[in-house]
Amino acid sequence: MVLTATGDDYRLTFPAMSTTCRLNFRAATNALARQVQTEARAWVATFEAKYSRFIPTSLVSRINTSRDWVEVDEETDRLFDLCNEMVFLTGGAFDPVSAPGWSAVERRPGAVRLPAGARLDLGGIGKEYAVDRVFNLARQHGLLDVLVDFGQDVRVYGQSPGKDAWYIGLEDPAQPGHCWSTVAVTNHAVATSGDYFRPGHIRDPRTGQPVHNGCRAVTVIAGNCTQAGILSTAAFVLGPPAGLELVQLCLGAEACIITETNRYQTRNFDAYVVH
Amino acid sequence: MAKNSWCEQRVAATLNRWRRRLRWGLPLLALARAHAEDQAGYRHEYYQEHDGRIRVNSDVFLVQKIAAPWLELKADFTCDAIAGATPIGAPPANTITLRDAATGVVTSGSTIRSYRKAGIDAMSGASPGGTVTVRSASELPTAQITDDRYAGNVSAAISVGAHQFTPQVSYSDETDYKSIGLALNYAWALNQKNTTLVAGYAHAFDKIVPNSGTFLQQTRHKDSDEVLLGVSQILTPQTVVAVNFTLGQSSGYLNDPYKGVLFESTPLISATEAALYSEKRPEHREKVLALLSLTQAVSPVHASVEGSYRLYYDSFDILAHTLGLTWRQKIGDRLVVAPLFRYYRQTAASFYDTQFTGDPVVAAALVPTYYSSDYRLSESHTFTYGVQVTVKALDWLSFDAAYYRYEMHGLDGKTADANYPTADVVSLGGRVWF
Repeated sequence: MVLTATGDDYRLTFPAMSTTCRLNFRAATNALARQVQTEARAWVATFEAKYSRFIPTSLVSRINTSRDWVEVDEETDRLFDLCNEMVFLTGGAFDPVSAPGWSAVERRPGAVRLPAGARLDLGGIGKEYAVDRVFNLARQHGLLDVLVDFGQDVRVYGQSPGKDAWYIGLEDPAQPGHCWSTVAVTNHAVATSGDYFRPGHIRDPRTGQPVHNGCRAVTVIAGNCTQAGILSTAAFVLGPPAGLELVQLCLGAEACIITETNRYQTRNFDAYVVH
Repeated sequence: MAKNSWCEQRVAATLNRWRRRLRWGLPLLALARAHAEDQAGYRHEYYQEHDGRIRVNSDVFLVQKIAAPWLELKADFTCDAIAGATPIGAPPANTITLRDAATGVVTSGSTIRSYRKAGIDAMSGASPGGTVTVRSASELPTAQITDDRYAGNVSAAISVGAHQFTPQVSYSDETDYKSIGLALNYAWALNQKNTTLVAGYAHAFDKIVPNSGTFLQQTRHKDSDEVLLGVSQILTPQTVVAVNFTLGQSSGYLNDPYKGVLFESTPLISATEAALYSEKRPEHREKVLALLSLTQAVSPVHASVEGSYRLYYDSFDILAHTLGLTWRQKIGDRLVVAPLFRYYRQTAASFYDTQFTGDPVVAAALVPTYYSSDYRLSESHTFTYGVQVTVKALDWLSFDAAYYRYEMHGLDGKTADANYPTADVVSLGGRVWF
């Protein structure tokens, strides 16, 4: 974990959730910056230990291996409420549970039970949810200009030092590592789903099969990263035009879908693009 | 130029300009040919730089038609497929110095393993990185590029007595670079055709388009003009000498949009990640070239030798010398073998360096007016050598094959050797006359 500072601009970098996590912010004192550093790192470590399906002792692993009710805390209940809402909104294009799917999950206050054979995977929501939580943590400490970037899922507040916004490059699926465009955002989240780096890894929950609809990448700008992440994955599964129609149902969300042959975007996406 | 550029003013651009320069020589060659005939040709060329750098596969189609005794039409079409790695402008991490803008304290940048374009705070994508990364502190940062280039050229040589006028139109189209060129060449054969005077003017309208990996946010333009004056003189039946002078200027966007530079005082994005700024070249460039060539027949061995010297100077302060030597050996009635050697040496542009002082945001006063870390503007020399073999299989059919090796080396002692490419060029072609 590394914390560097230039004046009152701080940059925190640490590895977690199999990626690089970055937190840029402006803090009034060094002590405050170090407090945010400690709390953010601790929260992410706890979150990963709790929700990673790759850690045998995690809550998700226990839910997946148990055929009985598993007790969950209030935060997990809220997370599942969100899943419930998004599964409904996306018509099943987003579903964190393998067949027979989220609709077969039994819930009661403080507990959950999966049907036999089903597996819970929060990979499509966990990192984005963590971005939002760390973002909120930073804001609760009164930090003004904040950027949270966990493996290219980004949420920002305020402006980058010396600029009028935070400038987020959109990765070109044809040339990973390069940007095809840049968006300027001040209080938004930006998330991208694509299979150009790991072909076939996005599956359509409705069929269980890898998505082959010509989509290469979907970028969504939304009010928070969890919403942006879920919408980008669901829009990728749906493809154009249904994917764009889904995003337009969500107030304030904009999207751009890049297919093998074309680019589609919602009406106001261009307002964020730096020309 | 073109893509590339985190790409370089890539190979396609280089080839483009190179070919454009060659066109100046066409009037001389056209007049020197004893019997112009209708012909069509095709050539495939494979250019491969070592160590996974740029690779270019080119297909070139050529057709020539003598429409009338006074009118010779010519057209060619080229498709280039370009792919490979190209330096992004940053030096290897173990040579980077970082200077705190406030305290002046200097530290090493050897912890840096990734590079992100300045001006972008983060990237949204589905790959784990989103930056150009290196595995070690000694590795030269490069980026992968791919592009296709399509180029065409049409000319009509119109003869009026001893005078020949050759208007010419050309175009080139890449994802990130479009170019349209217009030229008019004039040649006057006098003194019983022992002397040929040539003059020409060319203008190119270039458009540089934002693309993946570029620092450009909007389309920019570049305009170029060239004026040529020259003379070719047959001194003896065995000796021809030619002298050409070219004056040129370019205005507009002259940066390579893919090339970045590293400033000493730019804060690291993280402990292992540095920011690159776009290079900044002057928006006007003037150049002057002089070319002297001598061709001597060596009759006893059925051969000829051509020696040439080219002097180049431009307002970037680049002074370059090129020495060339080609031996054309005829073997029997149907075979010509032509080994070639060329040596090129240039000084550095006045605004070239591997890293620059200050930072455009936090220490702007220390930043020079212009800056570039494009190794092609560094002090360097280049050796090109190879051989071309032409076989005239039938009176109406010939084949040619060529192999050239291209070796570029730095001379300034500070630019990393890994910047300079070594390349092999192989071409195979055929031509029919009818």
